[in-house]
Amino acid sequence: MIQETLHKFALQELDPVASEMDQKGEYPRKIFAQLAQMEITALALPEQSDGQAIDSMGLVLALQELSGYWLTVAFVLLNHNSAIYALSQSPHCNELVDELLAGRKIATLAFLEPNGGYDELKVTSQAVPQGEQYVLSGQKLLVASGTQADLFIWLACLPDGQPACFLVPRDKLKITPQKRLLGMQAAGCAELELAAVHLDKQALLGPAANPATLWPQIRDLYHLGLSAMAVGVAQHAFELACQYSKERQQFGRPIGKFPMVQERIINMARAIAGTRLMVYQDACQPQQASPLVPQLPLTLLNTTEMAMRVTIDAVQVHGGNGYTKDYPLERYMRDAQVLRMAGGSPESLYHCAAQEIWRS
Amino acid sequence: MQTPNIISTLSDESHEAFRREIQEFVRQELAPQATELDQTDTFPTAILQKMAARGWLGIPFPQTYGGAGLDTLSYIIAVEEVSRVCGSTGITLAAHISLGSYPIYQSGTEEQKQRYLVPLARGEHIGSFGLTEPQAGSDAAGTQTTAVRDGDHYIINGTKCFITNVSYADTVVFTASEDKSKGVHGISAFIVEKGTPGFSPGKKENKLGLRASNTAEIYFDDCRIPRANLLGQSCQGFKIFMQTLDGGRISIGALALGEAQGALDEALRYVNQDKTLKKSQRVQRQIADMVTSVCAARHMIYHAARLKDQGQRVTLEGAMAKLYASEVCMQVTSQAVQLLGAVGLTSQYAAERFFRDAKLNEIGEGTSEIQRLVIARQVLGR
Repeated sequence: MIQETLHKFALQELDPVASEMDQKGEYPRKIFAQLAQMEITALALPEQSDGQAIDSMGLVLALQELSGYWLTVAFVLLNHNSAIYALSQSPHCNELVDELLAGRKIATLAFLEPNGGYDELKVTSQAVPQGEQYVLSGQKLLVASGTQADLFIWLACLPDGQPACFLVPRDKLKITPQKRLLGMQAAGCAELELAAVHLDKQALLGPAANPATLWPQIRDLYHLGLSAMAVGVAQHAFELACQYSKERQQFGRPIGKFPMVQERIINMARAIAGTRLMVYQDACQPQQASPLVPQLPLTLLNTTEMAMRVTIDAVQVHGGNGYTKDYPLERYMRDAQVLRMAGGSPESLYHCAAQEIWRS
Repeated sequence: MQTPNIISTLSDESHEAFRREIQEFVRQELAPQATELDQTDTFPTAILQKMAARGWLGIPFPQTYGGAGLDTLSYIIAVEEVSRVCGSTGITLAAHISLGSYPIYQSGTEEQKQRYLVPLARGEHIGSFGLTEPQAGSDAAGTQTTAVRDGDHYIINGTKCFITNVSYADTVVFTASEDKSKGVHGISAFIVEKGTPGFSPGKKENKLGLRASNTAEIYFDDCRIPRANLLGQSCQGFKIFMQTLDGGRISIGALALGEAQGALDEALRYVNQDKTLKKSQRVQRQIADMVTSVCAARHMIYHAARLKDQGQRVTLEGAMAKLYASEVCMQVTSQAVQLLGAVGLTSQYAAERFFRDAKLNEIGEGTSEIQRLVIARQVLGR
């Protein structure tokens, strides 16, 4: 149901404009408003008040459909929805949640740090308690919607070393747009800086009893969403490659009749089918508040590497045409490379997985 | 900029001296503006003029024809070192020499060589090669462009696409069919001069990478060219372009090699200044794999160039070198982007540019699929 609706939406609203808006770096604000109107913004919201039943599958399916046509829109949406989830798990934030659900305000996550965000487990951004306030300092980059968002969920370390989420309004931040990014050029990515900014204690998000439990939940949700996006973009790249291989004639027949081309396309399908199941499996597992679901870093590594390979192969099937902006494949390939970095570097994902396996 | 020494037993001291000369030039003249050229889609005209003044637009051609009189390996090293800094300038150079000039050197009459090759080799002219058509890509023999004899002229009609350098070219070597019923044996090769009525460069391609290089369509609309501009014998065009591609593949291999090395240089610089990264075994593993595959690609390409210099056929070795180097280039450039982390996605570092440039190597002058067919046919027989 949600798949059909969003597939139609993507076809009608994203497909015709994505390429041009990407080249201009034009943030999809109107499209975002439409999605909010369709209540797609509510997809990460817990159905139960105890926060244990996220509609992960709905979010996964929605992100997949949108990503097939324009990864940037899915990227913006995932950040927004993850932020909504963060606020929904925090006291005093009901009004903000309503604003965000309606799309009147845009929110996003800020967690990757310079030095490649090499290890999100070693967040360098600090939050120091001072009387009734926290003092926050640090830098973030590759923050989706950074140039547009009203609210930022900022990851910073508490004095005990635990990473925690803080709600930072736009006016507290120094925001530098990241122009000329390899991909996701319309996502409004920005570098952010907080220089000893004082925030009320209420800015610390998460359950009052144990705020540090929030970040692992957000990260899992985010990793799941990115994985779904990887599957979505790969799926559409595969479909376009299939279609092209049926239409493009060389040597007197469609190129899809040649076994070498068939092999390439079938290998794309194999890779997508396997990783898609990983994503669905992760989405169906009952959400645990914490600790980390160990499967997720593996799923994210597999899906994003797969999407990189599949989009490169889809360009290959399109030959010279694939190398031009007359076709969307080159955009998928650039976006897929950004996607590989969006959930933290592979370095940090390996680190996450290794910690689980060799926990002493 | 640190440039790690490249050591190969396949090159002589004279080659390495030439490499240092090229390195010095690109460091001073090209490196400071490579990113800007890419970001602003600027054809490297000024750079090409400076290279011409040094004789580098005619490296492998005899001095009697305005060339530098050096061997294929020297030329390959030049493409490698230029591409190591700027893939766009690298492909411009490779297309000018291997595609735009070489067929005239190989198959032209003395008169054609004097008239066309000499200014190309001196770098007074830019050369281009029109083979691909909208319906004739991998199937290069499927040429739809026609050439009809009319007294002392040929009348040409048709469209070519993805033609490197063509908007800036003074002469274009191209193929057209004199007799479609004869298939590949009806194809002839011709030379057309810029400004010939009925010949016009068309739409420029908006590409993923190599954005400072020029790629455009060409249109022939009842274009009359003199019979004297037939290259080689009538209906021998297929042989001419197959020979051209045999050599051209090595230069695309060198382009891929240069881009891969450029991305690797960037990764090494970045990792070296970050103690944590440098100590990470996973990073070390990746660097080791990158260095190893780039080194292997280099030796395949130099080997093919050496064979060509010995006057041997390089169909197999050229195809293998091009296939391997282009696939290595795609992997290494992608890995370099990843090693740099989030900043690797910005144009602040050259890794993302090399990553975008890299994909063309698996497509241009014969896709990887076509290279594999060529290789298999060479070893299996037809």
